Amino acid sequence: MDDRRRDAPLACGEVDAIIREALGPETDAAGRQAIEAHLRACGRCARRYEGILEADRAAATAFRWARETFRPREDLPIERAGAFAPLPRGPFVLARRPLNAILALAGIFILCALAMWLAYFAYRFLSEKGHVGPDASPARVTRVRLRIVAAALVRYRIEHGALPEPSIVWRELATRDRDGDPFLDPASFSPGLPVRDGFGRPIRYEVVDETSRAPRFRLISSGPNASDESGGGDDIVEGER
Amino acid sequence: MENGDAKLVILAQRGDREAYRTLVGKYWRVLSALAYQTIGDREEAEDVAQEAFIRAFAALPRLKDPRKFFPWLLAIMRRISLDRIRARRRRRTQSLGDLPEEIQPSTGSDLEAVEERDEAIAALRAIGRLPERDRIVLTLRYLLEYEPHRIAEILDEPDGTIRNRIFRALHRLRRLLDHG
Repeated sequence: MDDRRRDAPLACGEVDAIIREALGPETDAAGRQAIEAHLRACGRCARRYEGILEADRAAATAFRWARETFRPREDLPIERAGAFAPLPRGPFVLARRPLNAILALAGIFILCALAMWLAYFAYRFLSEKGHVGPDASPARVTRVRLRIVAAALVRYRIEHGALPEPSIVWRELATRDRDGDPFLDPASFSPGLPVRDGFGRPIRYEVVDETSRAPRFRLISSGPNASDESGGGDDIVEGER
Repeated sequence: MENGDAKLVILAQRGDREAYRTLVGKYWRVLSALAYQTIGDREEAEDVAQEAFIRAFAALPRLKDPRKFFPWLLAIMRRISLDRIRARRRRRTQSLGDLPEEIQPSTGSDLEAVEERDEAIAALRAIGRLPERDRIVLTLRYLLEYEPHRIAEILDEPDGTIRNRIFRALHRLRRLLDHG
């Protein structure tokens, strides 16, 4: 109750609000005095307040009887309902509810299928753009092709005891070993033999230490700048050390 | 809802029987009184309260917000009360408008006590004709003697709303008492 309310006569609307507050414990003695003063002067509010008090008394009587009448039952059979067995949480819920388990598995399956489908199309898209995949970059393709040719040359040397001449290397690698398999399958390369690097340029093959008892070979791609720098610069080289 | 109640509810959800019994003790009278206001039969009202507590306990692990235990319990009690009223109507043995057993003429020797009891029952019947929201706040206010702010906490509503509701409920109750 503020000072204004204490000092000035109250309006009927204010009394309503104060009575409302008076239902709680907050109205102080001064507030109550102000209300009483108003009620003495205003018959309408007095009747209204009296009605509220009457209802308040009736409610108090009613609930006092209820308080005395309704007493908690000592033998409340709460166990009857299968209580005190908290429902399992997390994945265990699925074990208790087969339908939920089936729905969950179906959901997981659908999500996985969707994820794989999206991954497949993303891979295809990026492959076409050249960002991912085995043929992603010409330099990478070149390295792979040089290694394949190098492996074929090693097999050829084991079979024949010597490396093929550079002038006939592709023809020799297209021949078959004693098991009938070609050293280099032309079908594995586009556009066949001679093998070209990832930039579409020919691969240079050379024999090093030709006069020694163990000659070695080198395969050289001129690299991205298309300039043969004899294995230097950005040339891509594969061979025996 | 008070923090204490929320703690009790959490404990009960973990299987603590005593915690739940404390909640039962706390709200038994409220539920019984509210059921009585609707049903008008003491024994049946207590049966409704008991069934509500049993069902609530069984479903307790599914209560997500422990602070809303009381409104949730009220909803369970309301369903049970309605089921009973429907069943009673089907049986046609007693309708909601009939006098409850307690209001039958008494032969008790303590006339004053009997009069007070009859008054109380008449008032409860009048309260039973109030809207449910009003009945709930009056029950909490007068049965448990809770202050409005505490009722506001339990029902998760603003303090001012509860005060207004008590005020309006008393107005309505007075009219009902005046006009029968």
